[in-house]
Amino acid sequence: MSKLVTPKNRLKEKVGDGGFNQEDIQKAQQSIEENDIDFVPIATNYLRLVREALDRHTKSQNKSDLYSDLLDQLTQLRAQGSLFHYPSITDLTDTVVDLLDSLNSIDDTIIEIIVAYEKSANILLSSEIKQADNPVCLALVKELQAVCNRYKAKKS
Amino acid sequence: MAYDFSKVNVLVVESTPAMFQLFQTVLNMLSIPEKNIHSAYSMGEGYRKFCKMEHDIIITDWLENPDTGIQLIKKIRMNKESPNRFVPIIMTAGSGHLNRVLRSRDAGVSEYLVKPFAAEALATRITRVIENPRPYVVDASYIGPDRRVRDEPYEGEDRRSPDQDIPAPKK
Repeated sequence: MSKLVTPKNRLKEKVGDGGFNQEDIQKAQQSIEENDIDFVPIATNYLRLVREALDRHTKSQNKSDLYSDLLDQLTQLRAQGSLFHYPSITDLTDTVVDLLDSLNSIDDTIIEIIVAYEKSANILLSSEIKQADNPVCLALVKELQAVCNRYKAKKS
Repeated sequence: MAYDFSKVNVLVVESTPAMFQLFQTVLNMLSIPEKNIHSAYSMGEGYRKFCKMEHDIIITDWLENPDTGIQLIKKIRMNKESPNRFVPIIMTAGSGHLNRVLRSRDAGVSEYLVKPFAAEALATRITRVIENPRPYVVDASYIGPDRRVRDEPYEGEDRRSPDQDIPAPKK
């Protein structure tokens, strides 16, 4: 038998009333937009982990862990790109994360798509292309999206 | 008058120091004192620090394979040694895919925040856990906020006991 419990709200007792100050929220948003964290080493590390996952797969031919290994690194890249001034990486990664999210497993075509993504992401980072509306970024995203759409169409 | 966070401790479990630094700055701008914001970078470190400090809010990333953020939430909710199984937990993740949201919900998360996030979105989730905490369901396989979030009548058999015989969190 389940029980429904309403614990004492200690947090409310501590903070009191009044909510957040709107000015504080604006300052917090500004701190997100103006952070000076260097994303390149962070992204490079996540891409290294993607590469290592792909290499492990090649050696062992075991795809069972590859899906979550890849998705974990890629979702971090998608999340952190925009936060650290690389919306280009977020947009590019969004394409492959959406594809992976719609699947439950990995096949050889997906691996080829991830390799293509890896190359594109490295181009963006090495060329310091940060903005998602940069023509090179737009072209890379468009190309990757087309590949993903072809894969989805073939599978459906 | 705004919220007073001077007595509130927050644990941020993140994947990298850079992400923790960003959360620390944002939370600090939201009037949470910097000294009250603590970091952890793994499930083990997060759980140890929570047991020691008994934080009032936990913000955890999904973390890396194998879903260690989810495991941390389950440990906090289900472990009898946990200092507060009803602590508000906000899950942050780079994907808002239904599968991830449902898995977080089923682990006992209080709120879900997709990254990249806006300060307003984080403030909204903190406000919700302060002002509108859901009642907790407690049974052998799940402890966490009531997962029925819609205000609609439930037509099935009511298998829940309204008894509140679960001890309140210590302190």
